[in-house]
Amino acid sequence: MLVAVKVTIQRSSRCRRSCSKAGRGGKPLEHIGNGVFRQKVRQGVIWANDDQDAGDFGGNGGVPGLTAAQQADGFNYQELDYNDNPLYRIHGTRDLVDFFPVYLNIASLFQSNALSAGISFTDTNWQFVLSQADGVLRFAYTSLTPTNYMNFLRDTNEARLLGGYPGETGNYAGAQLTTITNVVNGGVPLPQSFIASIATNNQGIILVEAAAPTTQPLVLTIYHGTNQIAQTQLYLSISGVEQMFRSKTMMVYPQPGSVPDRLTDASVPNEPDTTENNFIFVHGYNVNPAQARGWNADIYKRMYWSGSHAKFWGVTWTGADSQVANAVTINLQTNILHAFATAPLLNSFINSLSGTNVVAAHSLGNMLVLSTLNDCTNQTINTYFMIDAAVAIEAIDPNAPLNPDMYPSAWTNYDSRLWASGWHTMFTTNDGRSTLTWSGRLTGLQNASVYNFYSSGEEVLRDYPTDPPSYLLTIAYGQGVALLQGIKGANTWAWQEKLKGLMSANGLLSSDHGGWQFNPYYNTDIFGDHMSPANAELLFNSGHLETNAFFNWGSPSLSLFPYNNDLALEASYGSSYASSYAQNNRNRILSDAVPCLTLPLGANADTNLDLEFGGTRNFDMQTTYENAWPPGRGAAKYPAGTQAPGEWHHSDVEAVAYTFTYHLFDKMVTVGNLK
Amino acid sequence: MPPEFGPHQWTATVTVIGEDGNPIAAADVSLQYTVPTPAGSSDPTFGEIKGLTDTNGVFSASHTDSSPDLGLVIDKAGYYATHSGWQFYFDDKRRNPSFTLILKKIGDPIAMYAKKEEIKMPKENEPVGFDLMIGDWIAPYGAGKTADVFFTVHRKIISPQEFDADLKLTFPNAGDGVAIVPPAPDTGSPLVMPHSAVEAGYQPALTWNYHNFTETSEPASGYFFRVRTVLDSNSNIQSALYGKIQGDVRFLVGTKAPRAGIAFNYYLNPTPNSRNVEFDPKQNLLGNLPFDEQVQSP
Repeated sequence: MLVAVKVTIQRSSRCRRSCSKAGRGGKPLEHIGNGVFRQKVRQGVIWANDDQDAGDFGGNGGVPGLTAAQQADGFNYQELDYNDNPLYRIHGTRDLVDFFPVYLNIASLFQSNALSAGISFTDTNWQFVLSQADGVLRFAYTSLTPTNYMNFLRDTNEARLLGGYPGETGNYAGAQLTTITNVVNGGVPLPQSFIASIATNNQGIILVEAAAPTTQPLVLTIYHGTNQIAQTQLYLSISGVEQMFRSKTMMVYPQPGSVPDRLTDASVPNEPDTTENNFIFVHGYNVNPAQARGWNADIYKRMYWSGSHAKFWGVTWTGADSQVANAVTINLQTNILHAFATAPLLNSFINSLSGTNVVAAHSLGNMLVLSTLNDCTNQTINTYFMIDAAVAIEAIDPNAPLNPDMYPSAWTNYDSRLWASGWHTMFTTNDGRSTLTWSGRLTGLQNASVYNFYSSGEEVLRDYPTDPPSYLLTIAYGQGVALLQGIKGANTWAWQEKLKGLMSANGLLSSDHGGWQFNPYYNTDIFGDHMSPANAELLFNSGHLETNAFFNWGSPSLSLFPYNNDLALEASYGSSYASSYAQNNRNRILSDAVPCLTLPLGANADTNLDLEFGGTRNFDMQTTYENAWPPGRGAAKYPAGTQAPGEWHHSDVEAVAYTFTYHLFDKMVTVGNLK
Repeated sequence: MPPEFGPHQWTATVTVIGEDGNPIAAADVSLQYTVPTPAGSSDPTFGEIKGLTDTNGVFSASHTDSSPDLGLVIDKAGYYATHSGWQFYFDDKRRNPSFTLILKKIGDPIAMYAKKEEIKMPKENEPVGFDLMIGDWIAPYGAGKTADVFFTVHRKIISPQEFDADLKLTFPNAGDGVAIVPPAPDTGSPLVMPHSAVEAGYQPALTWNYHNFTETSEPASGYFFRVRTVLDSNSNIQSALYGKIQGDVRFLVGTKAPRAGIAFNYYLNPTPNSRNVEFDPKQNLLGNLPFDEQVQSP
């Protein structure tokens, strides 16, 4: 009898080093015809399902390394079966990236030709049994075939069928999983209905997760009665996901949760085959080191399923200074400074890599990368993907039109040279004060081919055309934290720009100096009435605006914690000192005292990028890359009239299940040449 | 929660009309508001109020919540669903919005050659033909066989900041041409342009020009075009193919690039003399295009 059996992992790959490891065992068998098997090198190199996912966009933010006691997905169950044993399910569409499709290639056994066994699938004497020695694998049956197996991630109907409906229970909550026991415990005989689907519909794809790391193979044994007729194995190399990608931590001060660097082959023993390309991911704002593990792991998994074979490097940096309750970071300005301060470290790190560097950054991580390019003149970034960039358009493009939505109403009738954003125009280029502008701050893109992945449905970076709510001006710490938590950061980028100089204190949302604060010196009465725009225009003739700006570089006189150091910029201290002060404090002054006058790149196209590169470099993720959208988010509301299935929010590149977002990752893999 | 951000009552009034301006009764209206983040959840969800428009095409609803915005979806059998939205901006004056939304009828969606085209100019300073049925430059620059349109690019680039460039669209046949569709307010309908191309008003050439970062082309929400025109002896149109370009033709000058690019979304009706330009996205005559080249809107 000729028996052709094969078990293959879809998107299989070699483990670059571990195949030669002692104890790894032999190589899987591949049937090459006439009952002849050969050793097969490919094996299943994948990660254990040890994070926590829920629904379409919930869970623990992808942070891996949870244990059974911590309810890692691979061990987490909410129900018992009829025998009071745990009943495991897939934890939502977001959990699907942690499964891998395995093809039980036994259809030929049921064919009636000279090379096949001609087994009748209705003959119950034949048993097909899956087993695995340490019992950490669980699987779901699917109706997928070898030609459409990726639908478990890419077809929203299939993903819904398997991942379940958010908030539902029972079978609607996610597909049931079967634990693959070891041979001693009898393994898992495949049901006759599944065998029939293999025989008649060329199915045979099961979705497998590993609850824990393992190198024990998945075994398919075929019995006729009690006689073992054939056996084949899928060799596995399953580890925690952080054993599969590299990591570089570059904190400006120590923070708990930071992971040690993983820079060498030895530190990533389960890294699959990689090319000479490096894919370097830089997380954004409000991501602490522990949360960065989740971001890096999630982005790695998504790039993996989109076919990237680049070496993946997750960068961890200080982007959550002033974070409260692991949820909300209240001081953007200090983290902007950290981004600038980290740039030399990122520059050195990237320069140390061999191969072609493709960098992707999220949110404020783009300030860090752009500073690396501009301030460190990094020449080794080949391709750069900005994702939801929390950087004003004018920073990379001084030719971008200014946006009146960024002007507080109290200032719109005043000459823009009177504004803090215009003060720099009063100085010659050899004076450091001439650099106190966001316009053109980060234009040096060096050799990088730059792409702007933005979302017109942004909530954090959303345009806010009116004045920020007056309540914010005097908000107290506790109220501010509660508010920012409640609104999930919505509108806050525009608010913090338009509130520069207007807050009652520094460190919460925005600042109390510079910015849009009128200089009381120019008030016309003791009640705080400001000089009229017409009269203010005459100040240009006085020559005093350099030494006494129309806005206030200091804090209001009633401030409890006044910050008046920046008054040094006014020449009463001597212009040379003022120039040096500006140079030495430039990034801090920009972050907390000089407003941007353009909207952020992460919510808007910078069409001049297209002009520059001669191709489309701005991609609206909301209208271009959504593959349907989680129904729990409701319809797209912003901008009005959008035809997108839903709003792509600031962190949805990581939060929303890959099923809905995979087009973006495919694009990065294609453009970055990362296959 | 401070008063500005706490629960407020809003009242939304939605009037639904057709393309003729007449009210549409019994249209499904879904008003969606954001529900604050539940404890332990990572993101807000939404609440929904549903109803039907009355004989005047009006639906009104009120609710008290702390949602920062409203989403609207209007639908009715035989029409394209229309979307809209509203931001409250925490402003009491914006709590009672009124909307007038247009439902556009699903007319006769047809199979078309439809493509999101982005392509590099193979040559400068001379016309290069593009085949809309193949979706490529004509030989020797591509696989195209028949030039439906010509693109000509001139570039004078002194620096990435200082440049002059123009892109000219011309046609091979007398009677061919392009008609500008002026900008129109967003109706929220996926059918952005009219169901049919105009019968007249086609011009034989159109130019897009950049002087530094200033573009001088006439604003447009799209274009109709007429190609493969055959005239009779009286110069009347005997046969022609019609189509549309939805959105602008984007001239990607390439101030740092060796070649310029152009990008446009086009739809070509293959039936001679039919001016129908309503596309059925399930019937693309260009076959299974890569995701980036597919157009989804009708």
